[in-house]
Amino acid sequence: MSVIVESDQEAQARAHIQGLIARRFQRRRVLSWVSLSFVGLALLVALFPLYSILEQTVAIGGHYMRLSFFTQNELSPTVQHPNLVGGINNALVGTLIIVAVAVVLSVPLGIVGGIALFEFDNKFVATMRSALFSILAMPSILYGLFVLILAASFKLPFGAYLGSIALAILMIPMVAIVTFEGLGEVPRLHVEAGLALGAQRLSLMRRVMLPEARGRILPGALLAASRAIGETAPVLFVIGSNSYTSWNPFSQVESLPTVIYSDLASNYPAVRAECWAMGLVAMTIILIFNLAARSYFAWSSRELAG
Amino acid sequence: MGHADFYYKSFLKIFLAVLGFIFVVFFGLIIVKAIPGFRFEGWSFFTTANWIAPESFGALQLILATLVTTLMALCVAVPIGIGAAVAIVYLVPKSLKILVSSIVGILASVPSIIYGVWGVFVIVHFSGYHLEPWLASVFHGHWPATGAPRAFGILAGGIVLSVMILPIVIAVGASVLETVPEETTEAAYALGSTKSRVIRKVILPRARGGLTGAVLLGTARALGETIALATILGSASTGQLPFNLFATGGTLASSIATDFSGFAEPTFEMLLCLGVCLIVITFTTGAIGRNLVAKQARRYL
Amino acid sequence: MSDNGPDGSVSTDDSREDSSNQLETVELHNVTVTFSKKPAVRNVSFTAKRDRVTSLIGPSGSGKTTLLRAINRLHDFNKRAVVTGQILVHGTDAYQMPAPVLRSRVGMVFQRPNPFQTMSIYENVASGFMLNGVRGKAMIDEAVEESLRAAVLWDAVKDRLKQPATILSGGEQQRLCIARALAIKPEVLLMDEPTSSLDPIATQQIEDLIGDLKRLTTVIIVTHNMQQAARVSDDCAFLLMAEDRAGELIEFNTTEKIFHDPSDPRTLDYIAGKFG
Repeated sequence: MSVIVESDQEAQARAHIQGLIARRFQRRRVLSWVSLSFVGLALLVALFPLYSILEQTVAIGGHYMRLSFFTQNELSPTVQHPNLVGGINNALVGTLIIVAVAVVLSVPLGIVGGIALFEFDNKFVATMRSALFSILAMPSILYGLFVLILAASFKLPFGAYLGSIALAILMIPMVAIVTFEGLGEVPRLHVEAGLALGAQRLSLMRRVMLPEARGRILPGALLAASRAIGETAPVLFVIGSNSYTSWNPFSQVESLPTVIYSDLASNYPAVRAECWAMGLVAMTIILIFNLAARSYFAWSSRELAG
Repeated sequence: MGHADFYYKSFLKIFLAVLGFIFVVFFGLIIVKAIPGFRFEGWSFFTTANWIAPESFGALQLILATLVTTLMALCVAVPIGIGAAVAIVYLVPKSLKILVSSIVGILASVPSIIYGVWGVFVIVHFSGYHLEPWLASVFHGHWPATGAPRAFGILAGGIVLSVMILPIVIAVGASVLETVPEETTEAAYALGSTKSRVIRKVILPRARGGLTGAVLLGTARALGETIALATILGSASTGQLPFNLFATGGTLASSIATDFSGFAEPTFEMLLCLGVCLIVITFTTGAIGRNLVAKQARRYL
Repeated sequence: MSDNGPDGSVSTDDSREDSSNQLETVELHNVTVTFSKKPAVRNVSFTAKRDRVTSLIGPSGSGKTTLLRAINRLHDFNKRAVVTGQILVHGTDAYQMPAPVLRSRVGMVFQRPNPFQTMSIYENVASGFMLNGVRGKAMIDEAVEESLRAAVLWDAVKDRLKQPATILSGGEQQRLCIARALAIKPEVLLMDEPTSSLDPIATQQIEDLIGDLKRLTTVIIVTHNMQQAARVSDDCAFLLMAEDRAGELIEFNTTEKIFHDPSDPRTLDYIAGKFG
């Protein structure tokens, strides 16, 4: 067996090319480090605003954290008493009412909608699915406009319920989508086991699939609620205004975001500064909801994985 | 199919139909009610720049302001956002990834009003006291920094917008980058490449469609941002076109918030016209963006 | 060392100075690769000689691919991987030089064809140059043509060089990957089950060209297909998974000897098809 040896010419060509590659390696390595440093810098720059927001919110808003802040209603300062700002009780309760009614409206409807999207598989359904995704991305002021039109057309009085309707329209797609995705994640094995036991579609859904999709639906609903808490534009005009606490969904109320919005434009510095405190409260609530949603999701994924 | 199932499926079908109807009505109502507004104003709605409710309704300035602020936001958010996404996927050690992703997630869930508060107190302050004077001195009063610095202007608005859309670009961008198959990356490393070259010459081109989609999704958000810009900009009361870093005036979305004053015609209808413009531009950008991201995910060898 | 069989001491039947070629080999000395403290392949020593094709054979899980990827340091990207022992590529320690430099000298072809999808056929073959910052159109053009010829692909694509690589069939794409690896003239070519995802005809085409490749580089090929190893390689390393799931080198010898007169009974069992 003879062995064909690489010719001298080929060996030379290889040495040439390998030399070219090795030659400026150090430079390439340095350049790589430099560009990656820029990339890391970009990340730090991107994350910095959170630090700034949190820092200001906590530093300035922290001063206001007394019980009376939460139990008092909003007050209007006057020239004689420019620091009379009061508390956020009416805004807190208002937010609670608006979001609670919105949740009651949107979660059941959203879940049913998600089920409906899951059970059928035709062109119409596919279009509806993509329509839902696009609705999600719409500027939230549009929900407010829609409810305004409804109020104008049907001569409806302003009140918390209108805000709830606007928020519900925003939340239903969110809940429907997580329901749809959650149902899709139920392992085929479980579905087929249920069918093998003679279950019909409805009971299969009720007893097998929905419970298993809970790990997606609940966090999704929590996230939708947390989004609703922070929304200003949909509720801004339709809930009216009210500096007293009201638990009646048909009365006019104020929500945390709307109070912040109007306070920002105030002439009194004390009122403007209070915005940080209200922001702190709002962000804390939203963060808690987000954390709860994430933890539940992580916990239930672990449960399912066994 | 049993008895119960028949009712079950019928109920669901009706429900879907109603849901579809509601969403059609949602867009339809706004569009239909806005038509008298368009007829009232005619083409000058798009061509004149004097939006002074309730007297005149030329929305050109608003349209341009929307585009300009979005463009400004993109100038910052695209390089930083994609860079940060690259950092998350390729630089951040595994142990920190969850933490960093959570921070991005929190940033994404900060409500607009909080960005508005922060924007007014921090960014406007920074812009008015530091950034704009510096720009004025750099450009000696010439374009693009003509006129007197006005803190509550599109510069501050653009900055806040960029901060707001960064989390979207980063989150979607990072997930797009994760879909680049590992074998492509390995092949590039196996040829002896350094990390930055692999990212720049192999991964980024491969992810180009999805990254564009991520940027477009951020753009859709920026185009429709209402509250944060309303707190910073107010509505258009100057006749000037926003081609100047020190310009002021509202965007399409922010003006809807600032100019609402009851159902008096024609103001209310004109606001609905603004809403229709918003629908058109956010819907198209969002749809293209989602499309690109989905296409990217679907590509396989 | 005696348990691992003869290590490079069996010569081919031509007369060549061993000493002059000692440097042009890939030597593994007691190479162990562990993942999170669990060894995947343990204490492997052999020498892959130049101008010869060395195959790594054995049943699934015996650590052949893990071992191969240690040679071009792909485990560097795995924080839980630890590689001990010594790997010498043409006399220099692979783990004592910058990894990218090593990888430009040790090429790899993967199990599934993975051309760069955003690049044309030409750009794919030339990507080794582009990724290493080397320019020079004339030189690159020539290298591209040479490697496409070596991969028996030139005639098929010479008129389509600007077209995207994705238009090629699976077998052609794999040959494109071979050309891509060859273009920068590596000293060693690692092939990780290169035909396992291809149809029999494409497999045959690639097996045919491997024989010619050994002239240009030292070829080390992992294959789970014994017959392929018998057809294609000159030397053969047989690995087997021990009880603790770590792969060990059972025997290293010429292909001839491994397949017709193996020293170890376990090798005989594998060859005879008792497992694997």
